[in-house]
Amino acid sequence: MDQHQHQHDSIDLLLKRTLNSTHSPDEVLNQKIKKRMKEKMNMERTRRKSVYKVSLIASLLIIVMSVGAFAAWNYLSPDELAEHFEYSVLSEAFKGEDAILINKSETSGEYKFTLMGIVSGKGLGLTSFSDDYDIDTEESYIAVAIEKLNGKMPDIQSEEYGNERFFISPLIKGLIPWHVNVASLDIGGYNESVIDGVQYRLISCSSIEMFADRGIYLAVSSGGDFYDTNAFTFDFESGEIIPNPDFDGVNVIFDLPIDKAKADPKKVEEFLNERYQGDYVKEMKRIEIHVKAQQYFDEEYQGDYQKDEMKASLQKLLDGLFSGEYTEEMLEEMVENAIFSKKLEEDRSNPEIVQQQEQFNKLIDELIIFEASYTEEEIKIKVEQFMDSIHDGSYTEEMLDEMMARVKESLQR
Amino acid sequence: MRPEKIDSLVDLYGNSLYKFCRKLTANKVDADDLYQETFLKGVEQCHKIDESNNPKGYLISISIYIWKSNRRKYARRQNLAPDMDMDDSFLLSDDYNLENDIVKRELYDCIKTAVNCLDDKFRIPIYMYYTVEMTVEDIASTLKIPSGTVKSRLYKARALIKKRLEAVGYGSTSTST
Repeated sequence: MDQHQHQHDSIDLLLKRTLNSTHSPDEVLNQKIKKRMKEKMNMERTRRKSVYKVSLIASLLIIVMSVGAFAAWNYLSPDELAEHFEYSVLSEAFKGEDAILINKSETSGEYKFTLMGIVSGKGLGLTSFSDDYDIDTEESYIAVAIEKLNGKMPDIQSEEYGNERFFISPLIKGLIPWHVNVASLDIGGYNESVIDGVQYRLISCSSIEMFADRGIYLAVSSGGDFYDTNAFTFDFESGEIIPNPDFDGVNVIFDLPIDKAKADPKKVEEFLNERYQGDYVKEMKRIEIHVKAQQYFDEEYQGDYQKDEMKASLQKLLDGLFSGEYTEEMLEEMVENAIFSKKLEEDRSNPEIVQQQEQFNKLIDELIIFEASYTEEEIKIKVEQFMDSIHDGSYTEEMLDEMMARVKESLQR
Repeated sequence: MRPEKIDSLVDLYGNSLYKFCRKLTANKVDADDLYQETFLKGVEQCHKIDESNNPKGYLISISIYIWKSNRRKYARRQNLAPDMDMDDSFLLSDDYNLENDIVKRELYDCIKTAVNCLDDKFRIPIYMYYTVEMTVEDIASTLKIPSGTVKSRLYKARALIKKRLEAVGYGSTSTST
């Protein structure tokens, strides 16, 4: 047995011994669970009968009630949702004066999104189990409901759950949305549940009340868990954020009607200075110029992709719009970025390069998937075989070393 | 699965599920809570449980979902107050003696710490494989990922654990145990 196999077996044996457990549930616990399961089964049978009756009444009511009112009645309330996640403090807060109950809906694609409500304050996330929670934490909680216009949202246990992912986040008017959103607001996160075919999300983040005088949105888009620059358009001048009508997915924006009196410009200043490590106004301007340059090369530039020609053309544009606000270094960087993006786009449309990438991915999969770990020598042989296939046998030692480095980097991931 | 048979799952799979809940939560109180919630959730989902198709895996998947949904509730206490009633299964070897015991305990504590430090995408398959003793195929169907991905995550997890052991001085992992 070679050394690698021996070490593999040793780790395997150690893990078997360490992680094997003698713990078992108390018999008392098991009996209690069985009893509760039987009780729940009986309740489920009774509930189903009630639901059918309620659904019939609801169907009749639809004819006479407005859609908005029906939507408000049909959902869990924000305090019920908080209770469902066992946030009892938050549940009370949603019933209090500081809560803003909105119940406004927007549709996009095959979905309807309802902004149920928002509340901010200290210690809202406290539960009986959160013994390491800081009760002085200022947080905002936003309750949202997601429905399919035709049918139900997939239950969390179903295979379809999670196939459509939604990014839901507060955004601040005037601040770059891919910089300032739920992912960057310190304690951003969410709880999610599907109840009676409606997907509920309770989003938590550092308190957004401080931004109240600037204007706050709640954005929803599909396709991932992070802000998608294709889903919304940010106007650097007006600071407005609007859904991009050409986006291939769902995207909606709500206004969050937070009392402007709750704004704290000083806190905002501290937040932005920390976020941008100093002069955020200057940094935002730099980004605005970069975005403009990128748009110019993507949509307007007609010349050759030669560095000097591109630099001259871009400089002419920027002098008209941002005179004195950009440096030579920035100009070089923007042109290099554009050349790199162009090359990437060309590679993607080159079938030979696409095929090489697929073969490379296959090689990495092969090296990873087999449990018996390859030796260094065996990996080199595999890589040489790969290089033979894509370069027809003619490649240098340097090219082989470079490929070995790429493979090792991929195996580390 | 018929609702009236659902409680038989407690007898059939309770032990395995409980071991898994103990590993996820690292303390008895939270494990008991998660264990109980899993079965109660199972009642709601009984129409989806197929007795002939990996019901244990289905229960494990419910457990993972509940645990992830309520992370703040199941506060991760591994670094704060580790479970004091440790598994003593490693002591059940025929060649047990006191001198080796201390060395072994240190090694096994180190391994447990290394596993706890893994990202969930590696840690959860490791528990499913070594604690619940599920096959790669059952893990794949439970987590709804390809078998190849399960193998690669187990492989990567073992490599990371080995690296950590070497970093803290357990250089030769070819122990004589």
